[in-house]
Amino acid sequence: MSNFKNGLKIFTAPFNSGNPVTVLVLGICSALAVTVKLQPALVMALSVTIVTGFSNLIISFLRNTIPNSIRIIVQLLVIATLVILVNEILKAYVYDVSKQLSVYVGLIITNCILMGRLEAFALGNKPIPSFIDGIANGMGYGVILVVVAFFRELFGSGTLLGIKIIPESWYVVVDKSTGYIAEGSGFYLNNGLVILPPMALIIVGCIIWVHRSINKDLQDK
Amino acid sequence: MENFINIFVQSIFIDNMIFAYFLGMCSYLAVSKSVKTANGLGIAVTFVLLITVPVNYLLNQYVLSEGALKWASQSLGGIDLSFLSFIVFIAVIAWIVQVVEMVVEKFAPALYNQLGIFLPLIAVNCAIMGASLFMQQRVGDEYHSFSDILAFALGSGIGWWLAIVGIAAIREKMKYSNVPKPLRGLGISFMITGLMAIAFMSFMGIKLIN
Amino acid sequence: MEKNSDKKKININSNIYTIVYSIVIVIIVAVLLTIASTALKPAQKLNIKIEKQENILKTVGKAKDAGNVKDKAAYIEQEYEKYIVESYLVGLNGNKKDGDAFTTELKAELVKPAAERSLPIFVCQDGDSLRYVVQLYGKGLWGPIWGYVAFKSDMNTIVGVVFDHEGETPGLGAEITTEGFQTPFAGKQIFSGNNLTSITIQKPGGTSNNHTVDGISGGTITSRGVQTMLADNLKLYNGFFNKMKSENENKLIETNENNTSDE
Repeated sequence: MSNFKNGLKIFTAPFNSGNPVTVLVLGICSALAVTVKLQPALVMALSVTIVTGFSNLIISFLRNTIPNSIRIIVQLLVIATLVILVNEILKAYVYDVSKQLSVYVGLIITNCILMGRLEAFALGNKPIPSFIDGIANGMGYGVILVVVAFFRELFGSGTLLGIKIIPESWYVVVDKSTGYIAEGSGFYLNNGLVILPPMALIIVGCIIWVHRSINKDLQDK
Repeated sequence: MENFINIFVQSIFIDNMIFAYFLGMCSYLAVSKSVKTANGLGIAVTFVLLITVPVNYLLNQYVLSEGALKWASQSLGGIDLSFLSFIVFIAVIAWIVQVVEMVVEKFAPALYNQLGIFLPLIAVNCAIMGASLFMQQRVGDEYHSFSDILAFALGSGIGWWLAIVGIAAIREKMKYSNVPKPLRGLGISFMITGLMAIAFMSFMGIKLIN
Repeated sequence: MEKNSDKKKININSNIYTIVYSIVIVIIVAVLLTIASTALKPAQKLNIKIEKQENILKTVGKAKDAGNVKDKAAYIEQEYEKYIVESYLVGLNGNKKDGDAFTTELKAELVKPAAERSLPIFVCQDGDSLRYVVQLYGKGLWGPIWGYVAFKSDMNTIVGVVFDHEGETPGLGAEITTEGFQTPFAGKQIFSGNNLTSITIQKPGGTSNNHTVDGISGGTITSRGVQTMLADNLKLYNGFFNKMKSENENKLIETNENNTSDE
């Protein structure tokens, strides 16, 4: 039972007080550019989760055999191998999405969450807890990605996963002959700013704001 | 030369590593509390970029991409090793960072004291890996020669440097502002970076020549 | 260090162990990656091929069901076999050149000196009429953009276009891939008289004519990129257009003569 509780604790931490993005400031780099639409964000979140999970698992298995002097290189090698496998699989089976992610799949290698979890957890723990820790951290990271992408796609394009959410009748229509808003047309326009890269940062800032308002322990003094 | 300046300016202001691609955000946020350290890290990143991107370019052109091994022998012309590029790039970066660290320590101890702590951090700085990956993607499209690559590497580094020194200066001044408590530190840094990025977007579309 | 490793059978920090360990790891990784890469290569190559075929078919208004069919790859290949009757390379003067049009990368051709360039042409048989699909390659705001344009056999009227891009801003520049941007191209003409005027992309809302198409609001630089790409690439194909036109005219005269003789 205590084993289960322990596992649960490892699993839930990354979603709240130990969130890799909003608390530990890890792994922001490779990801914000893929949050314009929900679908690539989901694929990215899934890819990172798989890579963190399995790299933690593999390094944990090897933890007593790795010579100290080449520790970092071995970790990078394991991560890079997994990322290449993910990249090749994406290219073969979900080609459209892999085109959207472009270089950002490769950047999972330098995602600090991976090295961070390997150093902080997998090197000192048994394989199963390490695997849980990796999966949970990947998901904790994915949650942020998905939330950011949710807002950006909804307000920027009026869609979610490519499906129209905001009704067509709400939209403002411009009458081409007069150049003014056509009579009887709606009141709504997509917010073009949300699509631009800077808004991703501001949305993450807002998420941190909300998170730290609820969880006061995390506030900077 | 025209191309060199064009790519150089574009990499600093328009394709800025931080403001357009969010690369190297981890160390950007972690090491931007004071201008002095930010400056040190900026120099180190520029320096490492200037070495790793050209080296990875040569590897990409003469070893990794499809048909790149033709120079060695005609029979190797059909080999496509591009699936190994992630691993090769990261290995080169880790290795060069190590070498740079040793060289700097040996020959310029004063510089080492300034940069020393940052150098190991750089191996996992996304901006370094990102620059190599962008280089690989753009070779043949936008970059056609070795000097283009140098311009891109130097420009990206200086752009990153500019960004981190900028945010550090703002964060130093922010000590005197009354920021809402939950936003202090990380939250407000994200938002300011966002605002800076909006400002940088006004450079979009600039072309110096032709 | 020494004390710790003494307890175990092998000293994991000895030089020999380190070297053997790294060699073993590198070999395992290399074998694994090579197997994965070789196994997945055919699927990846097929994806790229199918995408290109689909783009070509879309310009002539074919392969509309691609989103609905179960086996998209087989469907596209079948449609491509059915409609694209011929494909060949031409030089700047419009004369045919040797080589496979489908595997020719326009991107690589554009870097070559003008005289050595080979431009791909895909000929589509749609009912009784022939359509000619040409390829485009240019620059957007963030990276390359490319596309295909299909012409009627007068080499003037556009049947349809397809554009694609690598990294334009979603919702802005990336809108060049949408039907809203591409459909208005149909029916536009690239020649005024004998001059190649290409297509002008203008600000949305202005008065339009035969040679203009509305751009994307907020995607000005990408729109301008599309305009430049059309102008630059169509100029290269001009030799081919003129040759085809004069051939058509000759044919027309012949048929007219035949007609008159019949009467």
